[in-house]
Amino acid sequence: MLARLDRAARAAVPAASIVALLLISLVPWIGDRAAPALAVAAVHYWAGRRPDLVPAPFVFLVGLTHDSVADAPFGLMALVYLFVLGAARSQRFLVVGQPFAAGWAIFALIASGASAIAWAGASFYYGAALSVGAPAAVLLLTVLTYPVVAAALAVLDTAALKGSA
Amino acid sequence: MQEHRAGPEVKAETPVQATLRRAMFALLVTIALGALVIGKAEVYVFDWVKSAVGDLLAPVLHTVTVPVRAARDIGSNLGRITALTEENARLREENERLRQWQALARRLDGQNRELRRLLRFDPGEEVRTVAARVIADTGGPYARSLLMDAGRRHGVRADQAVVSGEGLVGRVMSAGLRSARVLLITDRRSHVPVLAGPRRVHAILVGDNGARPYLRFLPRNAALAPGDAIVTSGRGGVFPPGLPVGDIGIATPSGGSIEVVPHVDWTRLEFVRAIDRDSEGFAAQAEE
Repeated sequence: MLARLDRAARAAVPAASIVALLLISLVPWIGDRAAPALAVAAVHYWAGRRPDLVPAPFVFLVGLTHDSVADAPFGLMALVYLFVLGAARSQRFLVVGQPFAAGWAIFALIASGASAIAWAGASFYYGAALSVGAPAAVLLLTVLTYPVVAAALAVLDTAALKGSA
Repeated sequence: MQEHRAGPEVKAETPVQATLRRAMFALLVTIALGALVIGKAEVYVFDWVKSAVGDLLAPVLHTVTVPVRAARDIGSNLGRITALTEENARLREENERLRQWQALARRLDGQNRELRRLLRFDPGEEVRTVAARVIADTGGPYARSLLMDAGRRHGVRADQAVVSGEGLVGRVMSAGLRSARVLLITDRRSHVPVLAGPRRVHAILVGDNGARPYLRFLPRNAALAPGDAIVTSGRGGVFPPGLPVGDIGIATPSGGSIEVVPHVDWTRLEFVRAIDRDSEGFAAQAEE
């Protein structure tokens, strides 16, 4: 019984870390109002490492929660997170065994795609081409902070999920 | 830096499981796209969901906000320690100047009361406000709003004006039981009737999701200069008249849009107050 609980708790680590990073990124803490999309980085990391522990319905719900709290067009961030999940899942075998920079470059590509989808979706929703300055700032911060997020998640990964599958 | 590691071997999916997973993925993408399209019609149920999620997460966001703010403040304060002596001297000087203003304000307040008494003017009750902490700054690139930790239970209602100590923040867009969403004056959906400059020209302050909103519907002969004050006009009944909003920033030479620099420092916004427009004080102000 205890062993089963322990396994369940460990399996919940990716989901819990995604939710925690989402909440942290929504807290008013960064001065210039452009905050890195930490949850996007987390979804990418776990989709590459443990896709079985980040199912699409969960990622969809995280996206809807983000939409709700951030007052984004409903469905927009759900779409973005699903894109990141699908893209990272399909790319995971490309980066295995490669230097970290390769994984980082792929993340930058996927995050750029996600940003483009978010911009296009929001422009469609508001019926006007929105400024690209703010999304570009978010993208830049997200890509620059990825190594820190990935390193922190790697610590969790090693501590909680090592060897479990 | 570390090498990209392989994840532990995940159990291989059967063809049926893989098909189901792909079908589920496609279904979720379709639902998200559908929600985006339907949401354009301002579907009420989506607002309700957003409000409910905000309510549900309000205690969690409140808990997360406190340590994160503390960490941020420690970081920024460390940088300022070196400038403390200088700042202290500046504050003393400012304090002295403010004392003089305070004395003047008291004298004018006394005169004001006396004149009102002579006119038998009934100011009604003081305007009631509901103070709240900002628990989520949802100022992503596509919307400028925030969540505050007071809702209907505390007397917050939709369309109440929201201010900080510095000036107008925005208006309550939707109020949940324990939380409320505030549409900032910088959001592209925000339209605030204002008076601009010393000649008190009527205009509408419109946001564009950037840091600075701009003025629209100005008369052609409106002569405005950088630094001119912008205050709410009170037209429309949502915002009480006379709330300080900001100053004129840069006016484009072509006579196009005129930027406004808000008084509110969005980076330091921690507490806000919603103005209860049902209170008698609001009615009295609006009639003035």
